[in-house]
Amino acid sequence: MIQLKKIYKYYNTGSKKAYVLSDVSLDIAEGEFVSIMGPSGSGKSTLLHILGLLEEANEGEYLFLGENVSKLTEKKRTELHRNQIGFVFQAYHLIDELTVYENIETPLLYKGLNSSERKSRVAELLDKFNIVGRKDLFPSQLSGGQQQLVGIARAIAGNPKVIFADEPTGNLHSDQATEIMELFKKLNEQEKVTIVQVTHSEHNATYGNRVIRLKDGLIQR
Amino acid sequence: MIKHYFKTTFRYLRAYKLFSAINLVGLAVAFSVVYYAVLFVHFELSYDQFNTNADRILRLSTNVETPAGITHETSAGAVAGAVQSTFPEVENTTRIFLDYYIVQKDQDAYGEETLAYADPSVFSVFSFPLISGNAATVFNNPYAMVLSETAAKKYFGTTDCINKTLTLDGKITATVTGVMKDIPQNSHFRTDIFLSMSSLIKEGTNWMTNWSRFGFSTYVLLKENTSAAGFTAKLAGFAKEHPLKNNLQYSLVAEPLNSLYLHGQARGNKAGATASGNYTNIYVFSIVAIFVLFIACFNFINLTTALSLKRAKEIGVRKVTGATRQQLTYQFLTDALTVSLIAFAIAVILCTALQPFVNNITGKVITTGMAGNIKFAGLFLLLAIAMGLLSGLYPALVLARFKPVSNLKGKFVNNVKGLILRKGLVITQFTISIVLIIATIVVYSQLNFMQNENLGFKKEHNLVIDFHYDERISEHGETVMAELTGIPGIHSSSISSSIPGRSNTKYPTTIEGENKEPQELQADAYFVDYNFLKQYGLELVAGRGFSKDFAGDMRDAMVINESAVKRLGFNNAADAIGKPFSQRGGNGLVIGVIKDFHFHSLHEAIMPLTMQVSPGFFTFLTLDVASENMASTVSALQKKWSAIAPGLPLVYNFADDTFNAQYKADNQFGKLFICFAVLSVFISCLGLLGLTSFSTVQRTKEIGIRKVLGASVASIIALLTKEFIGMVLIALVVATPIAAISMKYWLNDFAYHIPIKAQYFLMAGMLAMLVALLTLSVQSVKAAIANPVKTLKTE
Repeated sequence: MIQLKKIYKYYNTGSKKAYVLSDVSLDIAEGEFVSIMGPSGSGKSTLLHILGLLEEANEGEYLFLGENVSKLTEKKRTELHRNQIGFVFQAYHLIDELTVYENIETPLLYKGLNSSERKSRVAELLDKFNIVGRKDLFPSQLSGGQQQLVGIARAIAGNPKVIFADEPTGNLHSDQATEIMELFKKLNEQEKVTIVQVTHSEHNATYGNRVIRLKDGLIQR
Repeated sequence: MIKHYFKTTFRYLRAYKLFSAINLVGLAVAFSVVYYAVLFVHFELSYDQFNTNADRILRLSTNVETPAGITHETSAGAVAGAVQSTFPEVENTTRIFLDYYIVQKDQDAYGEETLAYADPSVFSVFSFPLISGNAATVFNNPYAMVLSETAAKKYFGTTDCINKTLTLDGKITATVTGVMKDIPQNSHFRTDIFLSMSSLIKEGTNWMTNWSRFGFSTYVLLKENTSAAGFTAKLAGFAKEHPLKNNLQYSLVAEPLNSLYLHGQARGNKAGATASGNYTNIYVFSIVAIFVLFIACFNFINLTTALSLKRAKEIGVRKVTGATRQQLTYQFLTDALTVSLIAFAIAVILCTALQPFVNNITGKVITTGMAGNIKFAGLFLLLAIAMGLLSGLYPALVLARFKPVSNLKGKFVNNVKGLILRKGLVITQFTISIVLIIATIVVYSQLNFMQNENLGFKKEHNLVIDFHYDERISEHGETVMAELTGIPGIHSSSISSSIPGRSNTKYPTTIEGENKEPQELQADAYFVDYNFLKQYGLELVAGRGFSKDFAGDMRDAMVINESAVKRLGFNNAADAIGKPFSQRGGNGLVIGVIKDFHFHSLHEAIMPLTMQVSPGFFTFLTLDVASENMASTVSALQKKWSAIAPGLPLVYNFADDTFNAQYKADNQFGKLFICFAVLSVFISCLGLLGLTSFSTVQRTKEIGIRKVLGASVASIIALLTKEFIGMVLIALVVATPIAAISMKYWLNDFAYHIPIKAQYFLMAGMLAMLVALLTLSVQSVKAAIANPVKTLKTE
């Protein structure tokens, strides 16, 4: 489903190129639960952003669902964000001015679903995540774990094929973290959603079925 | 989707209350200013347009060529008839003669009114529809009167008042023969009472034969499809066939009605010259309106772009959840449009509330309410929408282009270009504000100067009675004055044809000049009594004043002012003494020269003035009244007055008020400028407030670090305000030459004016700085005293 071939990413710092990623090649099959690990500054987040089409690599080829997405128009990219890709962030990144319900509804709005379709989809997710009672609260009124639940509900609202999660439990204490990881596992196993997460925690990595280790921009074999 | 856009908009307005308030208030105030400025400009440009024949009407006036230059006069009574019979292209003519009377329905109620003698053709040349009475016959008799609806209701409580009567000047009975619709506010002359022309031009007067006896406004209605230029070209020949009495050369000028109000030459006239507008005011209003709109617009753009810093994360989230750039653009346009429309609604309320105030400061009824100007209100709705879209477009485009990943990382770097733009806008706003502050200071200094300048005569304690030429007083001046000065509190008195600040007649006058030849002057003439010079404290510089000891002082002696001396060519005032003069057919010798005094406003240079002792023109009684027990003095005066002239109401003023009344328009101009300056400063401060609060938010972390490193509160405040103070200083530098040049231009309209002083600019700069500092302190003090632990934690 995801194929990276010889990806390089660098920044020009003065006269030298500072490589964040070099010669990264990897395959991720549909239904996998992959954890990307590595020390700070190893290029994990950059790799995730490239996978999630938020950044472009300087060199190399990226095939997403068999399609070359290395150079995409903004419209095409948005299309993929709407239908195939979901994001979960360490800092949750909910829209502060919208309620739980409205946050989950946002991707559906952009997807162009009509109001009754949206209603039933949001209701389904609220029910599934057990947050029906909180649907009219604003993010600031929720705990971190609850916010991240909403973040995940929002990420899967549009039925994406893959979820990219950037240290999803990084800001949470361990009970909440476990709950979130269990949820990812359930989504992966029951709904066959491909999951790619960046994490620092070996424990969290055990929820997945493969670990990719990065150091100084290189994949460790 | 649209619902979602609006929902988001309202959530944001609520979340960022300060910014929403700044935007709404700024825009609403700007809309209101622009609405009234446009209304005013439209009103000024619409003068006389209600006349269906406006494009075919010309006013004929006279430019008399005197040795001292051209004097601008109205026209003589005979012109209309002669033009009508000479030129076939003239369809009709009409004459207006403005005057003022004390009008009474009964003994107790009275008022002074400007009224106009008119030919019956006034109703066919102009569009003044009658609601009762027959236009062809209303003016068949002397003292036949056509009232406006307003006057009819005022005096009789109904417009059904044909054949009812009013008393003029306490002695003349005038009969109502018709009622007309009110003359529109935007007419260059207005009256509530027309009197038949035969009331003025009576048997035995020379109004119709003397071509030098001016005072009439003569209007010509040309036939359709005739060229006004062709008609005007023939007037030169026509003037040659009708010489003036004193053989001075003159030309007849045809001024089109359409441009009369704004471009017409002011024509000397006894009572109530016609209204004239000022083209400069129109420019000033237009420019101010554009500026205010510009300032508000840019505050809006400025704030929205600045707010985008806070919204960066949200935009990033929306992008990764699948929003297209177009959808984001719509979102921001919805935000902008909503703000603009709410501001419009506030502006409508504001405009309605401010209407009496606006009519008051413009000094005219330019509007009777939004409902009456529905076309403008509609236009403004469109403007609000257009402004919302335009102001929203720039931030929308900038914001929608954000790269989501940097937003989400919180790495949004403020691009330098945007910052320079925003700073430039704040500098522009402050430049405009400082220009307006300087202008206000200059205008008020000039007004103050005019009100306090030594005018060369004594204006305090002089109570002036206008007795409307009543013979019971003018022909028994000595007796009347003896009786009035008997009242305790009244010390002395004088009787005259005019007083400083009131209009006076000009007469062709000949005095022997330096070159021993008689010099022609068109001189302002005062007719006074023996006590006038003393009563007004006028200072003699040569010769002597009038005295009863010299029998010849009655009619055969003349006192002139220094300007007249100069005009005659004498270097020394004493040289003019004893020179022969002739005026109005009389002859005599110059006996004295008085120091120049301002008998007209400081707008006008002091012109040659002559004074003679000559009863017959007297209409003003000046009494020196002690300020103690004023009320009892006036009531004693009132009592005595009704014994002296039963039926004639006592109409009085104080000399200083009369003189200052000439500055009504200038005072209004000053008030307007204060309003503009306050508004401009207010809106600029809103902009500054918005900008600083963002720069403070942006620098929260920096401030926190500095405090941890040991920075004092004062040094933090200095850090935050320094750059803005620099901006205000730049604005001051830019504003100074602009203000200096435009105010010099404005002051040139006054023959006597203040010099532009450096302190005005310093004052304006300090004021702007003070306001800016106060505005800045709101945000910077808050940021500076905040606990660094908190600010660093939120980062």
